[in-house]
Amino acid sequence: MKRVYGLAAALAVVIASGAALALDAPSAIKDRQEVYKEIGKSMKGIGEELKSSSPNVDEIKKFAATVDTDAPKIPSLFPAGTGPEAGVKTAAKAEIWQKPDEFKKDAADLAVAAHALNVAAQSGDVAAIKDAAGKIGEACKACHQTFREKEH
Amino acid sequence: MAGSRIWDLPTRLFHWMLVLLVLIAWQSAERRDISLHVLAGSGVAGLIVFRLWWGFFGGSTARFANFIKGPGAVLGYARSLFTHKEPALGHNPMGGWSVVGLLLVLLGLTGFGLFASDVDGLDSGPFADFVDYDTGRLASHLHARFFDGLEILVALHLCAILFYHLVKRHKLVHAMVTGRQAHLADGAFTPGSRVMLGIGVVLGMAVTLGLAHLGGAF
Repeated sequence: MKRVYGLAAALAVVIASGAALALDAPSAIKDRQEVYKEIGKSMKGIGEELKSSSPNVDEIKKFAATVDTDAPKIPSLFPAGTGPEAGVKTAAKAEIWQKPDEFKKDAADLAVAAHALNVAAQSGDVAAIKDAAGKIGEACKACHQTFREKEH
Repeated sequence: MAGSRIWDLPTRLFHWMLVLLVLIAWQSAERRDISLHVLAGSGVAGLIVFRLWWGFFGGSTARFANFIKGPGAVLGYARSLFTHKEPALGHNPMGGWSVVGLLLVLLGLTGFGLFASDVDGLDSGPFADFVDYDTGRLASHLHARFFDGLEILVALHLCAILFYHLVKRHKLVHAMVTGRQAHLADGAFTPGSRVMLGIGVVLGMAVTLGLAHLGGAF
């Protein structure tokens, strides 16, 4: 039985490294952009609710949960070869791979802020949600300052 | 004072306030200070509304009907560009179209800016809440393209002013500050009515305050 597990593990390693070699940069970039888009859409949705005189907390809960799910994915969305050298349009700067520790820290800051927003949203306390949403905005901007190409 | 009255005070104030607000809007966008950017943009929108109004009810040189000329006049003016000496009383036939171009580009620029939202879904124009994320992103891209257009037209505008100063010795900037054009006999300038000026100012301010309010300035 142990041998079977060993074989399976070896096979998994082979398949995984094969997949890494055959990394399809354009589709990795597209997947990455989908995740960021989902975060952006959710933040826009939360912002709209917060601007209304009677925010729909149920809507905010859904959006906040999405952001909380997506934010921790970020460090895995930047495999080597998906930067400016990939040959397709991406705003990801080479700095992401040059300063990986700094990048991971910024991503971790977002994940913490996203989780705090989710907790605030589930509590239904609008003032706390506003506060937490503001912190996410800061986390987005802090990282984009260094690691994202300016675009409109 | 020497020369002829050529630009009324509202037109001059419009011009220089527009210069100032466009500079503020540009710089604040560069620094990603979106609350200031939205405020400046709201001001630009109000100025455009005022100028469109003033184009129908303003002083004679501000009126579209007096300075938008057909292709014949434009070509004729272009051919005699180097030969004829006297400055135009107001916009010349080519300059008139530059005003039209600038106003149209500014309309597109502010119009798309109203609906624009940034990639994070955080910074947005006053009307961005009425459209979905993808539409807001599209508006943002078009907003940027119209800014490219504005840069080109402003560069042309500045080159033309330089040309008139150096080659034809017409002090156009001086005229836009003082309202008077030297080298011109006092011509047939007729000012706009005060009532129409009042209505135009109220319209422009209402647009600016309304947009600034929706944009979260107060």
